[in-house]
Amino acid sequence: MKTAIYISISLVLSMFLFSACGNNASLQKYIVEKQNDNNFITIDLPSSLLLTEDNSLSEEQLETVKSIKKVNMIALQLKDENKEFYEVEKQRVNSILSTDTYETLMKYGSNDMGASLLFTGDVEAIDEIIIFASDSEKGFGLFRVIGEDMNPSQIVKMMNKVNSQNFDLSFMNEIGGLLN
Amino acid sequence: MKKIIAITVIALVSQTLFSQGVFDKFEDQQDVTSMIVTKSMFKLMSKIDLSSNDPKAKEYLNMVENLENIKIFTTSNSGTAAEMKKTVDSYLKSSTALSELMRVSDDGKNIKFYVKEGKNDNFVTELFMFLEDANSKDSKAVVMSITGNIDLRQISQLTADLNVPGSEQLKNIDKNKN
Repeated sequence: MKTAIYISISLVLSMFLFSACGNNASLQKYIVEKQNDNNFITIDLPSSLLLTEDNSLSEEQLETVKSIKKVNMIALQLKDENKEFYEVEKQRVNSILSTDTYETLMKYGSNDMGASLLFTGDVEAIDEIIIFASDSEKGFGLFRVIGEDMNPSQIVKMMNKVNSQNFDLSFMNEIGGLLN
Repeated sequence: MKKIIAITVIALVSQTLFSQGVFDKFEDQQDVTSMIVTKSMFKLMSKIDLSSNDPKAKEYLNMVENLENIKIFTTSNSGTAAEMKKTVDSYLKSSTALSELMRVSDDGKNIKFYVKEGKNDNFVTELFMFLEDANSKDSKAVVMSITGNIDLRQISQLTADLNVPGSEQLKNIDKNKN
């Protein structure tokens, strides 16, 4: 009887332990691993590069910009010859994102498209924002904004006030070019 | 010995089963478009307070902050639509707490709203909608579930924002009640 209890307790415990180990497969690790993989398109940008030289941002706005550390992007195009590879990689990202570390904000799915918005941290102090989108014909893309205590309301406020003179968003065009 | 193991297994299995909603199985199905918004999103939205001087906007944000989640499943396939209807029927049977709020029949469209009562007349803990439309091309059936502390007086604004079918009719809910 006693041994049975011990066995069940250790079973339950080991399940918890296993799920804890699973968390080690973080997105950061995955992205670092794929940075040297030619199949993937990766972009890594520190937020300081986004600011233009002559800046008219206020102290407070600069503070907000500084809370954003960098922007990360990784994409895999779907081609006729890499279907299997694509499915495996997509599955890997999905399983990383389904761990408890990442909290889902929104999810959309249809036959040929899927997109989810996730984050880590607290709603008033966000550490990471993740957008994962896939298209059954084009491929998948993972977009990641990494920061420290990012305040959503401050960011939205700033976005509304500042104009494009303060930010160099030309990298967006580059991403668009790479994908097409 | 066997009993204890069986109980442990059952406990673990049922835990994972209960944590999933009845309709979540439709999420990964073919021909189903799904949309899920979680509690954290509502918390986040309510923090982005841009028009704080407007009392109406404040009330709205207040309600948004108290929402648990929104799930919407739409299908264009009549087979899946039939399956959805089945699931809806068994869901309504399993939960006596759900009572019919409103029914709309319009041009072959059948919309039914159900609510789970909340702390008082104006509040519900769940708003559930089922739409059937055999003639429609892309939405033969729509299931929507909103859970949380929902203020019925604000809900039509929310469903209108989300573009949910039947929001027009929900605007009259207040009038119907009084």
